[in-house]
Amino acid sequence: MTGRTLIQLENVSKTYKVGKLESTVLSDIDLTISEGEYVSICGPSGCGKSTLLSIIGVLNGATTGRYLFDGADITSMKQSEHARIRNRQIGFIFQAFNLSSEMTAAENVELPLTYRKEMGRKERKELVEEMLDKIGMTDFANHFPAQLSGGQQQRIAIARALAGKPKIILADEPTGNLDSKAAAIVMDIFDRLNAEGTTICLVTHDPRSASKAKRQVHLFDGRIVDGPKEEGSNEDSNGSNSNHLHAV
Amino acid sequence: MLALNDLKYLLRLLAKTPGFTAVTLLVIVLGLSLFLTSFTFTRQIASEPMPFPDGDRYVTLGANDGRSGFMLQRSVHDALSFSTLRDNAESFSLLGAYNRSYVVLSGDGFPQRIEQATITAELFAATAVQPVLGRMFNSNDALASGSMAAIISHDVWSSFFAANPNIVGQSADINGEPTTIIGIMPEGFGFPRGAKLWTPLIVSNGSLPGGDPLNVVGILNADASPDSARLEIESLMGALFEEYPDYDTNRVETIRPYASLYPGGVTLPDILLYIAWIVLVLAVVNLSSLLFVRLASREQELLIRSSVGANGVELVKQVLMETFSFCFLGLVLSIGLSSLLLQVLRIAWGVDVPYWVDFKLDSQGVLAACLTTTAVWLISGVAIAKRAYASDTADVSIGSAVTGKGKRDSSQYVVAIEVVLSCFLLVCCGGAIYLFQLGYNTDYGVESENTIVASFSFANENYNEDSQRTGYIRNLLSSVESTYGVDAAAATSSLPHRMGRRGTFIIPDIEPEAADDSFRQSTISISADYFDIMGVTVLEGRAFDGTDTPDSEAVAIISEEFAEQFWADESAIGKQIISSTDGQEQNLTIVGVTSLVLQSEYDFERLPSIYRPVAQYTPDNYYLVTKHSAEVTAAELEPAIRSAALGVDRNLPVENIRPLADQMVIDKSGVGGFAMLFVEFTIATLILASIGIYAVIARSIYLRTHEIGVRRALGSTDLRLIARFLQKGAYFLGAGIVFGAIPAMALSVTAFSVMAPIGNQVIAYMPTISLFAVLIVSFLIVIASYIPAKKAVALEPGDALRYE
Ligand SMILES: Nc1ncnc2c1ncn2[C@@H]1O[C@H](COP(=O)(O)OP(=O)(O)OP(=O)(O)O)[C@@H](O)[C@H]1O
Ligand SMILES: [Mg+2]
Repeated sequence: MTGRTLIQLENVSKTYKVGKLESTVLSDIDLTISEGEYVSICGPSGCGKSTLLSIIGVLNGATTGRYLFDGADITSMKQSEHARIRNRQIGFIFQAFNLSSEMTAAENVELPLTYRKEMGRKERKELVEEMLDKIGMTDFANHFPAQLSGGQQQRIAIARALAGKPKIILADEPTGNLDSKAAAIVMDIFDRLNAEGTTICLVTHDPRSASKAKRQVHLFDGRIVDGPKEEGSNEDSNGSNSNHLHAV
Repeated sequence: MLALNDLKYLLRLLAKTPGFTAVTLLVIVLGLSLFLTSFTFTRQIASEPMPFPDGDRYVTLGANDGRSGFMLQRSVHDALSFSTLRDNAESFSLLGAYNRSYVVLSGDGFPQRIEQATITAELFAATAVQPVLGRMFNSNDALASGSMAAIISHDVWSSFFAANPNIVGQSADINGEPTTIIGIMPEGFGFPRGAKLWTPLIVSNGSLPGGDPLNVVGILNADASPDSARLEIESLMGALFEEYPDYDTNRVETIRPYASLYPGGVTLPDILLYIAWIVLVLAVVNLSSLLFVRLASREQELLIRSSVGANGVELVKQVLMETFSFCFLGLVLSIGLSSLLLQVLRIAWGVDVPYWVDFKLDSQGVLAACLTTTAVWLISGVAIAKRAYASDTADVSIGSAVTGKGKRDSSQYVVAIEVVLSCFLLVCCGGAIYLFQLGYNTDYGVESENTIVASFSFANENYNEDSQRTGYIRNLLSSVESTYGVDAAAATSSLPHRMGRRGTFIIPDIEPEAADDSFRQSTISISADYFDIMGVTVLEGRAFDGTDTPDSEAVAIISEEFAEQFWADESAIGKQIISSTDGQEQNLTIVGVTSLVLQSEYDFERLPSIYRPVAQYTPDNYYLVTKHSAEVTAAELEPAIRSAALGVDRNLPVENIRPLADQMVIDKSGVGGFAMLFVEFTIATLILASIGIYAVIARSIYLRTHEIGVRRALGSTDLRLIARFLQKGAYFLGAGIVFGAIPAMALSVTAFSVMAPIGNQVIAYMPTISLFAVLIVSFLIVIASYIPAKKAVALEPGDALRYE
């Protein structure tokens, strides 16, 4: 069940300058993600997965190329509009959870909502409860991150990502710090979410996780390899596994 | 102990982060050197021991006026009371006396007027200072028979006798009397303060009350305290008063350290020392937080050390050594800097410093500095070592999340303390500086243009009669007035910015305030043209003139302010006041009201002045005030005035001839010294506050770079994040206002309220000063929050997330 184009990267590249050394981390990236898709980005360590995801998530800018988010050109936007997109359209999940250690689980989930002026306290609380319920963490609402297991922390992070009702969930190795059981729970949640219509973009180097996604994008040395070459073919891809070819 | 490797490592560490090392040293040196300077300075002017054996037990026996509480002039004893005390008091290992006067030393050159001390031989000998040439007094010198013997200062020897090596045994004229020079004291020696020539004082028993006044100095016994000695003196004097009812008994005996320039009560030096303490605390807080910041950045290094087997104790040692190297280096630099500062202060203080106050760091000052440094080292070292120890015992990689909380909390605590202390200090120093500023720029109500002053004194046996004194003044004035370029000349017993003779007064029909049974005043003797020359306006009635004679009605002139206080709705002319000065009561009729002349820059009590004509009141000391035309300069007139005076009486020269404006600057030099210290404190506070507040806030923001990244990933705008930090700053500022600025203001208002009316002027300005101080601190906070926050959000959020 895919819809209109949500993410559209055209000829994107990213170059880092470290001292006098310039290193190109991403080059010639063309990538389209449509509503309702479940895409995984995989590839060896250091190939630029996280960098690509942070560009998609408007955390980092691209060095060259064009990026349209929901039809709007990100490159020409102001900083504050970036923040607004991150807050309302995108939900992030990190490998290291990145929960605020001084806030309870519930407060962590509530955090992105507090940046929305129009949302009242009561409304926020209800939403937080709903989210905690969705991931089965209601009992841990008042725990601090340090009092939670890794898997539980990641579930709180997922709830936080979902709380804002984003158009897309971006997850960077969400199961990297978890054991297989906890990882399975997280992956199940993703499955369920996608089934409910949430667009998901998942970075992973675990083939088993990657295979859960309906489409896989392979990244090697900063380039997409063997992925579907035509944007058009993405639009109506029904069996994304058909192009399954490992880069390494 | 300290291995060579450790030392090398330390030096490398200091050199590796020169910026941090410099800032940390700056903090230590600022706090410590200012503390050391004020500590030494206040001790030296308040309680420096005399540089003699038992020098810390030299005391002055004085008395306060029983009615007004004013300190009576030092000479409250006479031969009878002195010999009684000398023979009976047991609290002292020695009681001596001296009498100071000016004498004229004459010979080949210009006669020179110098200060002489006639001093009991035992007291002089007790100093154990040996003459560089000749000998001390012996028992024969103290016999009034033969020729007079005198010991001269090194200064007089080199200036008057051209350092003649054969001078000992030769004769010189002192007040016209041939006197044998028997010895020359070492360079710089001056006890009593300012004396340049010494003759033996013989005090025989069995004299009667009312002899020449004497200054009595005692050396306390080891087991006597000033209080116990005071009680003994009081009872001995009480017995004497009963035996001789002639004595004015309305007095309270006092004993104070001989060397003290600031007797009794909480004084400016005390306040200075309190402020120095607070600055030191601020510096210590700063130092600790800086070292904390440094430690945090070296957590990784400590971890590596512990991973290769260093235990907690070794880590603590490591940290303490590092802190020690800062403190030690800081101590050495501070000692150097404060020696320098003290010399600057000495210059700022001016000429009127007793010779035993050298403004040099002494062993006690250095000891105090060492102790302070050790305390600073331990306080900051232990606090940090505790954390270093924790970094060994706790699992830092997981713990960073947990300790991260503690870290932030304590740093916020530190910022709050810094802000509070800074607000407090800035408000206090601001008030003090404004006070000095007002004092320094006091408009005394006189014109100092083209005016020369000079001093002369009748403390000379040829001028015991008032008629002799008034005769001299009359002749001096007419002689000076006939000099080319001089417009007018007058005499006054007290220049503006100098107090007159203190006393009290009563106005018939007007009740004094309940606490006192009379009002206080200061009496100033002036000649006819004084007001004219000084540009003081006679608003009502008349100035003094030739009709005021010793036999005519006793008259007084008062200021407008004085008149308004008591006769707001009517004229003061013709009204009566009963004034009392030096125990003498007199009915005075007011004949004139003038514009106000201030007699002291701080005039805390603002004693109203009562002007008396020279003919009716003629104290010992006078100033000659000369108005000259713009065509001649003060330098040109100086020799003319000097010789005009010598023409009147060769044995009564005038001295310290200088423009009135210069005289005022000299008189204010002490004020300048204090003001300088307070300005230094303010600058130090500003620097410390900037460093401390910036370092800590910037660090706490830096520590949150990662969190900032998370928040931005969640969609917080940059503005919002910066605003969040600024809001934090606002809380600190709130704490600074409530716990720093407001208490400081309250304290200042209390302190200044006893310094009316100039104090009231400062109080009126306190809100502005406080506001200004708070503005400065808020500016620091805003800068310290904004710049690092701006830096943190300038990172791309993705990069910020890579932090830690
Ligand atoms: N801020 C930066 N400055 C310089 N180089 C960077 C920066 N961020 C990433 N890189 C470099 O870009 C390359 C790709 O990094 P990235 O984190 O995207 O890899 P990754 O595919 O996510 O690897 P992993 O699977 O190990 O997480 C790496 O070589 C990395 O060193
Ligand atoms: Mg990665």
